[in-house]
Amino acid sequence: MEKVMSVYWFAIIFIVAGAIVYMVSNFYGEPYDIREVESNALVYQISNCLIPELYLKMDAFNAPDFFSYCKLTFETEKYAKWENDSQFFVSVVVSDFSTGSVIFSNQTGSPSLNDFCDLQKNGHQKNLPYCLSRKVYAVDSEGTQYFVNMDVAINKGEKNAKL
Amino acid sequence: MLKLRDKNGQILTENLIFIILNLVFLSILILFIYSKMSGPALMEEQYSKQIALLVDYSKTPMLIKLDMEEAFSKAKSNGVPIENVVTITNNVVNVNIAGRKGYDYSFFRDAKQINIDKYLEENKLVLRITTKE
Repeated sequence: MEKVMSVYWFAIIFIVAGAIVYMVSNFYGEPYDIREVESNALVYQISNCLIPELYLKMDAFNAPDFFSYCKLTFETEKYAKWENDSQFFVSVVVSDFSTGSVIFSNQTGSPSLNDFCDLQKNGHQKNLPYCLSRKVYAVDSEGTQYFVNMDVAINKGEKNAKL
Repeated sequence: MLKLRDKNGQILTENLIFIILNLVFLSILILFIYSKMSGPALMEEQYSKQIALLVDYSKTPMLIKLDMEEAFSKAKSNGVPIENVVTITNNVVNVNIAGRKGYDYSFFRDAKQINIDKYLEENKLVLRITTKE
């Protein structure tokens, strides 16, 4: 009788251990998703580039390559098909505060990533690119008011989410 | 009388074997969990992403010190020289602790326009970030 009980005991232990192993593997097998922090860092750098001290830096609008002017690059490591498909989409639009007319507009990366942002209005889905939109109020040295709209989408799904 | 004594001895042996088997089983389980928690692959990913984010958020000029004592000790045990644990090529950070190809992660600061000098200080990784003139 005791021998029969111990067989059941070990069967239960194996089932419980199997469940623990599965949960631990699942938890530690998932990569860290840092796209939210990365997109906030990108918005921070663009804001600092356009508004380094108090006023909007109008020189930035005349730069031949705006993102290079801000010391940014969107090249990634050689991984999967990342060389062929850009893993970023960044759009910067500066508009007049009163009239809404666009003073400056520039974007880079893969525009198709931005299409996924509409699908995530109710919340971010891990297997889709991470989207972030920020609107910043700025003033130039003459006192003219502007809105700076920044839209960022970061893919890098293979390294940030378990696909 | 003799029969009773024999019965007692058998119960004790069975219980002992039962307890030992349980302990062996639990210790294997705990070892598995511990190995997953502190595995080099997880550490490589953690540090490469951490360094990439530090560079992403940095301003020039800036000095960043990151404590990597755990990573360096693990790398030493895997035969990886500590100078080769972290390498920054163009805008890609590679952290190699296991002695294989390591883990790459890119940052978006333009390495052609900023200088990222990397050196070691005790068990810390020091990054000096300045603008290229």
